[in-house]
Amino acid sequence: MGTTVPTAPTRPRTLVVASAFGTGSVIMYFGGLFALYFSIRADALAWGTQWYPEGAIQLVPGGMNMATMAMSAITMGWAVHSVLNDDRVHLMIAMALTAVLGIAMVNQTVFYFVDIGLPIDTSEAATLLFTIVGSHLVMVAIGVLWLGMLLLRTLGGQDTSRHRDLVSAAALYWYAAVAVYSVIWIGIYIAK
Amino acid sequence: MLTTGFKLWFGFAVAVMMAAVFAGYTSGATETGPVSIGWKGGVGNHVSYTILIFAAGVLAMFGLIAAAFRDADAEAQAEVLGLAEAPAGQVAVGNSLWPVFGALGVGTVGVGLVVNSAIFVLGLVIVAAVGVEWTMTNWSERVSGDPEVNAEARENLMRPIEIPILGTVGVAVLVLAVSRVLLASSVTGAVWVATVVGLVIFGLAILISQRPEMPRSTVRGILFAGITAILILGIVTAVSGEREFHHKGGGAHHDEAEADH
Repeated sequence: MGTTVPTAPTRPRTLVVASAFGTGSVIMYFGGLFALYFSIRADALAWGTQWYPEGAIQLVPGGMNMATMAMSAITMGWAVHSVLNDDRVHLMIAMALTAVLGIAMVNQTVFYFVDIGLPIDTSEAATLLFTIVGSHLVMVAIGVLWLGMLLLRTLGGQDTSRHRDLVSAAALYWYAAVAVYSVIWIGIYIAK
Repeated sequence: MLTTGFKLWFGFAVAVMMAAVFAGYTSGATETGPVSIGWKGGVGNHVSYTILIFAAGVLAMFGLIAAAFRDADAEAQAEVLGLAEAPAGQVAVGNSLWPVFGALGVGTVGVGLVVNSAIFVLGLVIVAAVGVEWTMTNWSERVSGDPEVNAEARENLMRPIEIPILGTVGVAVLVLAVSRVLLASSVTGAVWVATVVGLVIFGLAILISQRPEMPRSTVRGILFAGITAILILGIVTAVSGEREFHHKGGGAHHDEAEADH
């Protein structure tokens, strides 16, 4: 029986640094969208124009989504803690929970948008609302796919304390998604 | 101990934050607006202020990453792994076509968003499939330090999944292509097409079975040419459209329209 050549070690953290730059570009994309949103909103309010139709934007769905995203940040932290301690079972549970919370957030948002029945071309406000929230849904969906891939890797036994870069990178991306949603929550759902 | 990278990025963050406040005060902000990120008063020009605040946040994040990872210092990296020297940044693993197929999937998603929801779903399926395949390729590249062993590990795991799925998809595509050809032909023509195609396939199968010494490359070439011909015919006839169907008890739609005139 032949001997297997051991895998050459790889330099750690390069992936996390690259992911940080990628995440930075995503955050700047949202920065541009928010800049447009707040600018046009300020102009509209200064002219006394109605921004959203009365009752179109409600605090409860936005608050529920914020709570969901905040919980997912905790479960993501749990995943990072688990991989640091080589706790594969808890790592898989934490990542699966985070993904489920992400899917729940997407589901809540889609249900709410169908429920309010606000056509995308009603006004500049509606167009910007759908663009910003839709972009964030895509961001969360990518995060969920990423977590799905990580779960596959973990099942293969590849996410360990010595090879935890992908989990750290996913966590960084996910925290950015939560941070972006907190701006959506304050700037759109609370400030209206 | 703060690293050089942290000082650089954090310095940028502070500079950009100050630029945001300055931009706010010089574009009509209130006294407390720019320093409270708009919580207590206006921030002036929203576009410049918001973009600069976001940029400051991103730069601060880079600073924290640099501090956390000690500027990717080789000694610190070796210490993390418990090695005397830091390993190479990248291990050579050979070429991969998955980025190309991934780009194809993303492109299909984009085209589908504009053209047709079926194409959009097809793009999503391609992206998901590429994601799984790429992940498994990455996994196999770290099974051992021997590329042959790694390739074998990947094949052992993925071939039992890939071959049935690809076979099913291939059969479905061929059936769809042949059905387009038959639907585009006239009633008698469809019978002739089915008969001739069936006879050609049957004849080729007999020919191949009678010559077991025929090289595999020739057999593959014949199959490839046949499949390509069917696919091209299927695409062409799908674009040209189906023939008109005459239903029992009524004429074709265009006949009725002509009668109305």
